[in-house]
Amino acid sequence: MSYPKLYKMIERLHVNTVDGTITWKETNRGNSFEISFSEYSVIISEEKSKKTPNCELYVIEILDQYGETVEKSNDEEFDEDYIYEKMKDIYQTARRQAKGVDKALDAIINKLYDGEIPF
Amino acid sequence: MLSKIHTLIELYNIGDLSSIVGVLISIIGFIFTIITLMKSKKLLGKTKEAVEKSRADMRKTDTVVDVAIVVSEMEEIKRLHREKSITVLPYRYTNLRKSLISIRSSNESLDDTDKRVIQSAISFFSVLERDIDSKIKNDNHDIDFPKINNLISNHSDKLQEVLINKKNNIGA
Repeated sequence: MSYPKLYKMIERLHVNTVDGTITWKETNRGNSFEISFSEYSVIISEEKSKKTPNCELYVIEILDQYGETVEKSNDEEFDEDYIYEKMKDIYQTARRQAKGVDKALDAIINKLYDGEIPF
Repeated sequence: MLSKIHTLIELYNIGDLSSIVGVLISIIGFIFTIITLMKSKKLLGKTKEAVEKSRADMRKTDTVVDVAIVVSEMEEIKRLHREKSITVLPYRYTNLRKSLISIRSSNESLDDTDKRVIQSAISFFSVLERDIDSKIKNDNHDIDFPKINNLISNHSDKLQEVLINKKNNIGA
């Protein structure tokens, strides 16, 4: 697949996810996370690859203002390998954000630096 | 008698004076009309402003009512989840999604943050509808309803925030 706008979107999502300017939310599926803008939503999911056993597949889905899927692609459809790394990174960061792992770690690290003695 | 009056008018230039007075009265009248017109224009502007403000307040009230209905519908869906009334769920999700779409498209008072909250709920119920439909089709009733209810509560809380913000802005 060679669709420059999709590459661009994934790259931008990666930057904004890693720097924390966008916050992903949990969906009803345990392996999917979503981010919503005023008229569109993006969902990133982790699935099992059918092509490569024991390997994860990352799927990106765009929903329009009616909740209908307008685009759905997975990392195996892209020619460039680095897209797999980007999508994996987005998914893992999204998971940590949505589950509150980052927040918990920040709070614990701050408390440890403050010298708070845990019970 | 009449000639005496004519003589008096001629003698004291009463004709010219009355013309001048007439012109002055006309000018004063004209100024008064302009002032009245300006006051009316100002008043009209204020009335228009008040009408526009009350229209905006009505729109905000409509948004508050619509969002409150959606929030109560979410509570109803959570109840159906607890009862595991699976077959009626897709229909309820569709209706809720339609209500959310209608709120977003018909309420001009919503800002970008409000729209993001609504879009997030639309996509959530859209995905949920697909998943539950698929489970019904495959006769698979293994659904984590407590988790789904927890997520619905998060969406409901966010919508409640939109509702409170709009409520506080009515009349402001």
